[in-house]
Amino acid sequence: MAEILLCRVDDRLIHGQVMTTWLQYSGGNHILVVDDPTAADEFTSSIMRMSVPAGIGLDVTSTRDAPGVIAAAGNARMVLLARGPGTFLELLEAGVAIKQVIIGGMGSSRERSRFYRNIQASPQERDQMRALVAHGVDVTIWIVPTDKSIPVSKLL
Amino acid sequence: MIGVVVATHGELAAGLRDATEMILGPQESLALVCLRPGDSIEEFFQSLREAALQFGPAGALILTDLMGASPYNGAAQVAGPPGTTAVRVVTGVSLPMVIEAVTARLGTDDVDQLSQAVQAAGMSGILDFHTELQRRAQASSEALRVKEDPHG
Repeated sequence: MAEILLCRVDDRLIHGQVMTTWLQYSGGNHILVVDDPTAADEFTSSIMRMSVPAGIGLDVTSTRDAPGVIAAAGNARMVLLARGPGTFLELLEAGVAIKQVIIGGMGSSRERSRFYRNIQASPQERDQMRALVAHGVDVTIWIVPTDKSIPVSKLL
Repeated sequence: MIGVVVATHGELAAGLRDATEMILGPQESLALVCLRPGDSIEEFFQSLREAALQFGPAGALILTDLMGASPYNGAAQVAGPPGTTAVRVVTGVSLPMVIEAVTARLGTDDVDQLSQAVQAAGMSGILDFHTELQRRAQASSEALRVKEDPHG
């Protein structure tokens, strides 16, 4: 069973230096992208692979297959990435041990409105964050490790 | 004419166009796509797609700032797998590269050729002043020596 070091919400998933910083901070050596559209698209997955630093593993999986991938990943030190809190709520309800979720990037969309600074959230996403908090998960807004983290429970 | 799209974080793309036009005057078929904090990534990718595809079969060269970052990832999506579109992506954009892109396309309709010219311009545009001065001094004294003693 892989060790889950970090669960991060970012609608850009892996992008540039942000990932490198979080890998260093967490000590992770394996990224698991949990995202149904990306898992179904070989080309997008191959673009994403180019952003992964040398020596770091990458798997891209659907929400449904993720628990199995995590269970089978031996002693990988994993960083999980998803586009929204709902994915982590689903994983938690499927039995994956998630203790902390950090919100790193949620940009604007039609359903979303301003949540905190540049973080936007839809009513559904706010409910998902509430549900995670109710399950005892520590949910914070934390863009980069050098920023301070803001617990979302204060904002919901 | 091949279209040129500059896609970057923040206002870098706008700055590069501004500097290019200061040197070369106003440019046609030069599009900018800027990703600003809090922007919708879906809208950014869509704007990028529209900017590149507006040039139709003439094709487009997308110049992005940082490999692996969102402008690059979006541009890669538009370019598609090799051989599927007339769109190419070169990252690590600099002013010499934008200048090369808008000038070299006047002499070619081949997107791959344009991409190569732009990459070469980027790389040869990077040098250290003193190193270059010394390199030239050495090269010119070597040329003088050969001229005075062609068989020596």
